[in-house]
Amino acid sequence: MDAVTSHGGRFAGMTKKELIRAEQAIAHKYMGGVPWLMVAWGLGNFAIWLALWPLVMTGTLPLGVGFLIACANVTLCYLPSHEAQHDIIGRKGTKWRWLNELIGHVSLIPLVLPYRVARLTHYEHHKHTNDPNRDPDHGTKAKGPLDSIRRTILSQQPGSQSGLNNYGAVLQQMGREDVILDGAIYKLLFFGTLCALAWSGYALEAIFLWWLPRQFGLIYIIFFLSWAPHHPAEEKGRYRNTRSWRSKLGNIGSLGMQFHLIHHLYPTIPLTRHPAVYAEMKPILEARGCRLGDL
Amino acid sequence: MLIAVLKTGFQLGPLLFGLLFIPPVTAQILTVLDWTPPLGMTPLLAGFLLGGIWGVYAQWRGSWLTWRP
Repeated sequence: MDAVTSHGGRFAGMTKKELIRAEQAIAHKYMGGVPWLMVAWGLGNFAIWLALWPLVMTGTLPLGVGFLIACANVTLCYLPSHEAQHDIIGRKGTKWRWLNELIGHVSLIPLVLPYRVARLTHYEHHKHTNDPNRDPDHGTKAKGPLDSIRRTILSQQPGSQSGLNNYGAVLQQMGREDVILDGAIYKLLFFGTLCALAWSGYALEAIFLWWLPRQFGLIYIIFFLSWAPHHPAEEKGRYRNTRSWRSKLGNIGSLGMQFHLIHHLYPTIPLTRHPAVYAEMKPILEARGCRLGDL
Repeated sequence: MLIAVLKTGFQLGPLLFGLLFIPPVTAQILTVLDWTPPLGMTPLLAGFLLGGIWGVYAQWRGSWLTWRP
């Protein structure tokens, strides 16, 4: 006999089996369709970042303004690809599959993260969330906000074996050495482009439109997408490995991650629908003993 | 062959970054700030000096910063 819950309003007293059915019924209402906002976000964000280069190089836009926009571009570039990683824009065999893959690849370019690397390591993260030995993102575990920032900066150092530097080892363990080459090519093109720009007289543009925004974006993304929703990253299991919380920067400022719990439960629900799903599913999540914080 | 070249290149990444990227960056920053390097050095030479030393340090320590990764 399944355990009977004592919390969760109208769901109190339900068996686990009944709860999962109720949970799935809510989740399925929010699945499906093409999230066009994410499509526009992915392509628009990349186009704006590309446009910064001629605008700044020709003196049309001041470098300082370009830098701020580039920081926003890099910070915003991961999420559209994240939707693509979960086949949300177009599943295999559907007419929008090409768009799914296009967004997946293109939107990540400012971050210098190959789509295939991101997708495979992210699936591992979902399968083994908070497992110190198998979760590729477990290296983002930190004592607090400042420690998270410090650890991200350290993980970007050449001798580091955590963060993005750990993805090669993860792919090797998965037997996907072919994808490691994607990472090497991206890195080569990134540093090659930076050097070419610098020796052509555009060193400041290289730093302030790409290198530095990328550092900023990585810190921001890892903070809100990895550290905050899993903190303290000690519990495993479907209902305990991720939390919801109220961010001081709001839901937009935290890149929608206040509701990251919904993503881990149902990864194919588009990001923009998470708040609605959360509102409807909250009593069930309470009944399940999820970490809901003050949200 | 290509893989071997790539691997060697990445192993020497900090040194290459120090010698290929930091010098022109330093030179252009010094020029923008209108600073003259000491000892009659050109901005680019000052960049090579800075990038070379910092690159060797990062290569040796595995970090551009004082913290160990």
